[in-house]
Amino acid sequence: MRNFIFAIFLFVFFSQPAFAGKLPDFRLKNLDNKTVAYSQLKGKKLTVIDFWATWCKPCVRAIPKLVKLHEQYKKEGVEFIGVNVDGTRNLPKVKPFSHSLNISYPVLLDVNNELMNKLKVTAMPTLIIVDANDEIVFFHQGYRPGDEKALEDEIRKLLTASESANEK
Amino acid sequence: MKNKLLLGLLLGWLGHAAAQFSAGNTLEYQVGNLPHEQPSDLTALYNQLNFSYQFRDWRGDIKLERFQRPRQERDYTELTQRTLRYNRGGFDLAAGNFYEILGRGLLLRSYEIPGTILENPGERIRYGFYRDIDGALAKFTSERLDVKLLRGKPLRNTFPPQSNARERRPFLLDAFETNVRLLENFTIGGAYLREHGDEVLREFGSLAVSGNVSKNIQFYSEYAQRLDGGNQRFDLSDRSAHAFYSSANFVAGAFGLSVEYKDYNEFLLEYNDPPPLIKEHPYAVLNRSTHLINPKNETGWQGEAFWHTAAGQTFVLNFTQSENLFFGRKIRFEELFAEAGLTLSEKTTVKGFFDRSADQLRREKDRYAGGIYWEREWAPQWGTALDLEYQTLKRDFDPGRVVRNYVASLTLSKAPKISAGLILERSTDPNLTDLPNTARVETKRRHWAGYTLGYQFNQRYLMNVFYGTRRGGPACTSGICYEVLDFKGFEMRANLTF
Repeated sequence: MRNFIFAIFLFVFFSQPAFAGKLPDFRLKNLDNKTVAYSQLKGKKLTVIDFWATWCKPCVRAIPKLVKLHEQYKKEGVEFIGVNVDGTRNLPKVKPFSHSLNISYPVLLDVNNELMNKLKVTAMPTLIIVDANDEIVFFHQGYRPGDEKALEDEIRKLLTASESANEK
Repeated sequence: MKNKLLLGLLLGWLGHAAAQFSAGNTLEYQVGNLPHEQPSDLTALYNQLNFSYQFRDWRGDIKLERFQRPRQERDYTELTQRTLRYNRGGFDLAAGNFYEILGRGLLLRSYEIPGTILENPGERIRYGFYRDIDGALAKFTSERLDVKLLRGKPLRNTFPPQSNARERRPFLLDAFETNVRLLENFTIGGAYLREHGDEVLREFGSLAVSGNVSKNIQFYSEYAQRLDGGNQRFDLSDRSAHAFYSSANFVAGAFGLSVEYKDYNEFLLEYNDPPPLIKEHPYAVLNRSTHLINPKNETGWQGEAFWHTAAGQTFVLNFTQSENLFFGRKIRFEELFAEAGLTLSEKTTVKGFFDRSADQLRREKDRYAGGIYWEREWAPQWGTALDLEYQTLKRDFDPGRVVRNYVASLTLSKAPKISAGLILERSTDPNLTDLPNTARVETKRRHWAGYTLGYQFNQRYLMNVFYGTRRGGPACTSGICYEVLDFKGFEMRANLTF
């Protein structure tokens, strides 16, 4: 067993791609109780996925900043998706809460934390950026004031990279 | 050593080449103990590795947990989950360990609270916080029809991983659920669950309706009951084992409202998790004072309103009431919570809350709490957050004593990498002030002081350090409540995602 653990640690340090692997085309219910697939919501160039919950203080603080970024970048092919992980305890509150916060992007309900587990998300909030080929290219845990600036820098960097790739 | 290195390099190369591996690792190392307990430098190492391999529509997952303390009889290294899944379109098949829910969890809910580590208070064994099902699952999801079929053994997560397998998974469940969208905005569903225990077979059924009355109004209602044992159908009296849950919500612009009702009787199954209808608070003094539901007999309701003004101010108002039958006597829990969040400038926000509650089961009355949370970004990406909370309560068996709880925390952060904080707590609760290692009975006060440091090395590596004393007690995360033990010492947690 020790050998196995040792091998896993070696694997971690030798495998360079930060988030190798594609985001699977998941299906979750939206706030109107309708099942939607990720492929229906994803952005032309980038998709920002925010894992959040109503009880999570930093998540709620981050949401207005994400709404601003969404308004700013949606015309450039960047879509945002909120994945709420409240579970059954707070489920009826998610829709009124999202509306009151004016969340302009779709909010999906990961009641069983299925997607959260699949993507190995362990902290709230977690932000993921997925490119047009569904590759996970950015992963950020937690929220500190000013994190939105780092996210915006990353979005700009990825948009520039995507434009240069298209020109070639 | 050479073989290990080769194996590591091979796995690393596979990670590059196939790009289909993903993993998450949480490692927590502690040097310390319960405050006032010896030895004070007890070490504990807990590691959880979640490893996945995806090949087209197939996916394999494993969870490997390891726990190490100096007394080796409590150590374990266990492959606690292994799952093979097939997913294509709306079809999902799983064999091994999986999580599933029927309806809103009245009959069945399995879950994982990622990033949370449980500690068994008796043997002090640490392990992951999840309640999975070991068996097989077939699911079909479409816009009009959802069908679930499962057979498996749910986990009793009060037993740590190295416990006897029969103790950990004593029941075998068979379950079926279907939901049909009859009209554009109206869904009806039903579930059946059969539990095979020790020489006992129990059967349960449920019916659920949900829909959108208009764009602004949504509702959900579910009734579940035990089908065997002479229970009358749709009997909501105390004679039948039943669970009824109903919710509705309303939105109008920036105003939102949710209302919920519950009636649970003889429905304490070891694998269900009916909605508790108790507010989950982010504030420490309130989160700790939560009411734990008892589906053996509980009724109640909860209402919550939200309002967010165009200027960025938020208002939340919540009222909760719960009643339990305790040895023939009605026991009530009641809470009123109000919160206002104000945006003072683009860089400064402040939130204030007030809470009044009474919990007859804990024999606590006149429980008042208030606090403020202030946050300011004072230079580009440099931020400060200050959290001050105060709670006072009386117990009906000691009406002359006023218990006071204080929480103060200050966090300094530099986005997106660093945060450092100080958490101070103080209590005059006589249940906490008496130190177990002295002959005297201390009644005055007790303090806890802890320092935290968080550093995100890169996108895949996050480290958190804690040093000092931490106050334990009940805690709720992701809607699930559990007991956290006190701690004094040093703790380091590393999260790695790749």
